Amino acid sequence: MANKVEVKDVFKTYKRGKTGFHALNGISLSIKEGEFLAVMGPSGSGKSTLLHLIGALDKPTSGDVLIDGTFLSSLSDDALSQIRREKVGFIFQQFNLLPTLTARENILLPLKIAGKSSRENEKYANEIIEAVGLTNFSDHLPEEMSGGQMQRVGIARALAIRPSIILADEPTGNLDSKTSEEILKLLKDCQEKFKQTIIMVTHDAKAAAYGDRIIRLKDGQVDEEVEVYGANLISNL
Amino acid sequence: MLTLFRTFNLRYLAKHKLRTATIIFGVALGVMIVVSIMLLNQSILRSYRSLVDTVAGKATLQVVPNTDSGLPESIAGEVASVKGVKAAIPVVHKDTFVFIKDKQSGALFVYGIDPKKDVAARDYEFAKGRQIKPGEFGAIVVTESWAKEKGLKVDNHIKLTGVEGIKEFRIVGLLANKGPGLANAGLFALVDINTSRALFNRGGKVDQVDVVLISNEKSKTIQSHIKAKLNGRAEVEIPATRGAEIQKSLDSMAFYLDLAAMLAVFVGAFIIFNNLEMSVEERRFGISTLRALGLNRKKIFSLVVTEAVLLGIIGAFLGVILGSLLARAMSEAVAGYLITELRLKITDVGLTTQVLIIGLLMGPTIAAAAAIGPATRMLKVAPLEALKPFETAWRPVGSTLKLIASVLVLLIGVGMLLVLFFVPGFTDKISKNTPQLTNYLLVSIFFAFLGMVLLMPYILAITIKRSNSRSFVLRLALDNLRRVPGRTAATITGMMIALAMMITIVGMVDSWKYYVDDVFDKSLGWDILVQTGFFSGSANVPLNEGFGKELAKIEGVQHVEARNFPFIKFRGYNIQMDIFEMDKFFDISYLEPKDGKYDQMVKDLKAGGSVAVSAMFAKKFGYKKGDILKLDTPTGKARLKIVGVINDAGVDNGFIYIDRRDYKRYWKDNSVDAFAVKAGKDYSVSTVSKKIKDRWEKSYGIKIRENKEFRNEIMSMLDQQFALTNMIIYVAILVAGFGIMNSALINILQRKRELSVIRALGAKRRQIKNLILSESVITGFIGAAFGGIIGIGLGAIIVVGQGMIVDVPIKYLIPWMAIIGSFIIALSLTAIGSVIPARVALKREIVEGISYE
Ligand SMILES: Nc1ncnc2c1ncn2[C@@H]1O[C@H](COP(=O)(O)OP(=O)(O)OP(=O)(O)O)[C@@H](O)[C@H]1O
Ligand SMILES: [Mg+2]
Repeated sequence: MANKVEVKDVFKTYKRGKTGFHALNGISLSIKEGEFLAVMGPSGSGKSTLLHLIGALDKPTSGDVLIDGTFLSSLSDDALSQIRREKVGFIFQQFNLLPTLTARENILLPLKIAGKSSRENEKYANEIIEAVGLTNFSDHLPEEMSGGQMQRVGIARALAIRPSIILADEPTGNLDSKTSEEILKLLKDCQEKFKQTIIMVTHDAKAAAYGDRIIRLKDGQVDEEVEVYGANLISNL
Repeated sequence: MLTLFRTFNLRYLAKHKLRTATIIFGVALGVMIVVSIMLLNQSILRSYRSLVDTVAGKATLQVVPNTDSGLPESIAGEVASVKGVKAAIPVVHKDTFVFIKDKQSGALFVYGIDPKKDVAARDYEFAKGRQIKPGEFGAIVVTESWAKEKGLKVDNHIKLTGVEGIKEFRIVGLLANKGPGLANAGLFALVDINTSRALFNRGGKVDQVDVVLISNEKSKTIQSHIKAKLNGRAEVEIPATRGAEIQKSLDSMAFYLDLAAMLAVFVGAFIIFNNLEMSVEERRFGISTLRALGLNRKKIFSLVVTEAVLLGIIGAFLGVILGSLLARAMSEAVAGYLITELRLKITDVGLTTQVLIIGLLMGPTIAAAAAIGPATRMLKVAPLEALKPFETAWRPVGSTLKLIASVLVLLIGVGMLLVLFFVPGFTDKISKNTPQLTNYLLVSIFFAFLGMVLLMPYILAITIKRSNSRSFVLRLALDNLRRVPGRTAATITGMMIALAMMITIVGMVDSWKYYVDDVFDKSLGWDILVQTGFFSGSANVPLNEGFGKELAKIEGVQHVEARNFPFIKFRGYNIQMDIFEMDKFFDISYLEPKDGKYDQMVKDLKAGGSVAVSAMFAKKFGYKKGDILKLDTPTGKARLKIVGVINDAGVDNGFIYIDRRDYKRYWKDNSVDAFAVKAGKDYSVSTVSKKIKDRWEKSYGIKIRENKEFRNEIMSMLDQQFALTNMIIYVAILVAGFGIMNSALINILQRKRELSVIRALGAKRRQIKNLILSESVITGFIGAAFGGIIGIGLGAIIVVGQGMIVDVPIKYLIPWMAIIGSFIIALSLTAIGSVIPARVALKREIVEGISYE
C-alpha cells in the first residue's frame, strides 16, 4: 500500500539560550494509508511537535514531510490551508475550542470554514455528535462543559470533515477509562469504515494498543518501533 | 514597592511598546488640543494688548468713538481742559492697502500724528532716516522689519489707498524694532495727521485722543472726570484693560473650540482607558499571583494608578510640545477670520508658563481618571481566578444599578439641552450672558455624551445578537464584539463622538448657510458692490459721496446707493449698524419685518428719525417695535424710534438699520463704505462691472463684487469660522480611527489561541483577513451610525434652539453629505486600520497559539 504520510529526516530546532535545541532530531517515518499509528514517549520528547509538522501547522527546520506524495515544503500558504481543511483532522491536546460557540457550532466550524456545510455533511456531523455522546450537550458553551466533554467536542470536530488523516494528540488524556475506551473504539471504527489514517499520541499503553504499530520517541528521534500483535507485548514496553 | 513597580509595571510597558505608546498618545491628544486652544486664545489677547499698549505708549487713557465715524477735532481740546490731564494727543488712524510698484502688497495700520504733540505719548526710535515733519505731505515712516520684508529702503516710494484714490508716499524713516516699531506685528506706519485726514476723509476729525496724565493722578479718577465731561459722545478707556472687549468677540468662537477640545479629551481618555483596561487584562495572571502572594488591594490599585500617572506625565510633555505646534498651525488657519472679524493679526503664539503648567497637570490627571475603572477591575481579580485556564465566553455587561445610572446621566444631558431651548423664561435669562450660555451648553453636551458612552455596552448587548449567520467570519466577528461589550463600547465611542461632532457642526453650518443665503436672496437686491476692501473687513478705506455721483454716470448703471457698515459699541457689545439711504434702499432691496407690516415699516424708515433692529438685537437687549432706542453718538444722545423688527441673518448680537441722513446728522460722517449698484434692464451686469473696474481699479484700488461673489464670500466666511473646529475634529476622527486599529490589534493579541485554531482548522489567509476586517469595519459602522444619530439630534436641537434664542425662522437641514461622508471615513479608516492587525495575526506561527504558554 502507498505511503499516506512520509517524514524525511526532519529536524525541528528551537532557540534555547545561545544554542539551538532539537525538538525533533533527524526523524524519519512512513505511515501507510489506513494505518493506525500510536506515538508514545516521555514528556518533551517531541510528540506534539511531530504531529504539528504532519498536520501542516508548522514547518520543519530541515527535512520534509510528504502527504499523499506531495512535499509540504513545496506548497503555498493557501495550499497548506487546503490540506488542513480537507485532509487533516486535528485533535488537540488542549482542546482549543472557540469559547463563544456551542459544542455543535464548534463541531461544524471546519465545515463552515471549508464552505462545505451541506445538509449531508451536517447529518454526518450529527451522527458523530451522537457517537461521541454529546447529544445532550450540543448546545452548551465550552465554559459550561467538563474537560472530558470538551475533549469529545474536539474529537467530533476533527472527524466532522471526514479527513483522510486523523492526528490525535492525547485524545483520551482527560477522559475516564470507560469513555476512553468508547473514543478509541470510535477511532478504530473510523479507520476500518472510512480507511482513515490515524496517528495518535498517547501516554497510555492500553490506548496505544489500539494502534497497528507503536513508535516510541526519545529526544526527538524514534527510539523503538513495535508492530502490535497482542496486548501482552505492549505491557512489556 | 519600587522593585515591584520595576518588575510588574516597567517591564510590561517596555515589552508592550505599542500599547505604551498609544496610552501616551491618547494623553498627548487631549493635552495638545487644550494647550493649543489656550495658547491661541491667549495669543490673540496678547497680540491685541500689545497692539494697544505699544501704540498707547505713555498714554494711560484713550478717548475713542463708539463707532468708526471718528470724533470732532475739538474733542482733544475738551479733554485737555480736564484737570489732571497733562496732554491730549490727537490721532487719526486707519487700516489701508499698500501698493508697492503698483502691486497690492497687503495692508498697513497707518497712524496720523501731530509730530510735535505726539512726543508726549510715544518715544520713537529710528533705525534709519527721521520722523515726519509737521504738515509734511507725501512722507511716511514705516517699521524697519516691514521695510526689510518688502525690500524697501529710505527714499523708496509706496502707495496707499485713500478716499480720493491711490496716493504715493516717500519713506523718510524706519522705526527701530522696539516700542511703536513693534506695533501690529510691524504692519504700522506714521504719516502727518493732516495728511491722514485728507487721505481717509477725516477732515476736522480725530479717531482717538491719547491722554497723558500729570504724575500722581489716578487714571480711574480722571477717566470718570473725562467721561462726565463727554457725556456719552465718546468712550474713555484704559488701554491696558482693552483686552476685555476682544474677549467678548472671542467668546462665540470659543464655544466651538471648547466643544472640540472636550471631544478631544473624551477621545483621548477613551484611548487611555481602553489600553489600560487591556493591559490590566493581560496582567490578570500576574496580578492574581501577586494577590496569592499576599499583596493587598491598595498596593495593586496604586501600582496601576502610578503607572497611568507616569504615562500621563510623558504624554503631557509630548502634548505640550505638539500643542504649541498646533497653535501655530491654527493661528494660520484663523488668520483670515481674525483680520476680517476682529481686525487683528496674531503676532506670537509662544508657550506661556500658565499653559505649560495646566498642560503638564492635565496629562496625569486624565490618565489617572481613566485608570480608576481598570484599576478597580483589577481589584476584583481573585487570587486564584486568573489561574483558570479558560477564558469566559461572555463578559457580563454590568449591573442594573449601573444601567440606571447611565440612563440618568443621558437624561440629565438631553434634559438640560431641552430645558435650555424649550423653556422660554430660562432660555431668555441664560442666553443674555454668552459665557454662561456656552458653559451650560458644554456641560449638557458633556453629560449627553457621557450618558451615551456609559449606555453603549448595554446598547451593544441588545443590538448585536448572537447571530446564526451562515458566514463563520461574520459570526465570529460579531461574537467577539459582543464578548467584551465594555471594550467594544469604548472603541466605538471614540469614533462615534468624533463623527457626531462633525455631523453636528456641518448640520449647523449648512442650516445657517441655507438660511443666510435665503435671506440674501430676498433682501440684497443689488448687482454690484463697489468698495476698497472687504464687506466688514479691517482694511476698508471709505470712499466719498462724490464718487457715487461719478458712478451714476457710467452707462448702464441704473441705481447707486451709499452704504456703511460700522460697528457701534452698545452696552459693551459690538453691534453692526447698517447705514442705508432708506429712500432709495427699498427700490432694490428688502427687509422682512417679523410682524409682516412691510409697507408701514418702509414708510416709517423713509421718514427718518427711526431705526429697524434685527430680531436678535431686539431679543437680546429687550426691545420691541415702538420702543425708543437711545444711542451714544459724537454729538450726544440719539433717540430713534424702532419701527421694525427684522428677520435677519445675523447671529451674534444682531443689527441696527439706520437711515444715512440720521447717521450723518448724529455721527457727522459722510464717508461711504460701499456703493450698491444695480444695472439697467438692458445691460449685462458683467459689462457694467467691467466698465467700473476699468475706470477706477488702477487709480482708486476699488474692488468690485457681483452679487454671487459676495454671497460666496459670506458663505466662505461662515466656513472660516469653523476652520479651526473642523481641524480639531479631523484630528479627533483620525485618532479615533487609530483607536479602532489599536483595539483590533489588542484584540488579536488576546485571541492568539482562537485565531490559531481557526487557521489550524484550515482557514485561508483571506478568511483571517476578512475576519479582522469585519470586526474593525463593524465597529466603524456602528460608530458612524450612532455618530449620525447623535449628530443629527444634537445639530437639530442646537439649530432649532439657536433659532429660538436669536429669534429667526431657521430650519434644520440634515447634512446627508456629511453623514454619507462620515460612513465613508469610518469604514475606510477602519478598513485601513485592520491591515496591520491582520498582518500581525498572520505572521504568527499557528502552533504558537494552540499550545499552552
Ligand atoms: N515554541 C517552542 N519554543 C521552544 N521550545 C519548544 C517550543 N515548542 C516545543 N518546544 C520544546 O520542544 C520539546 C518537544 O515539545 P513537545 O510539545 O513536542 O513535547 P511532547 O512530547 O508533546 O510533550 P508532552 O507529552 O508533555 O505533551 C520540548 O522540550 C519543548 O520544550
Ligand atoms: Mg504534547
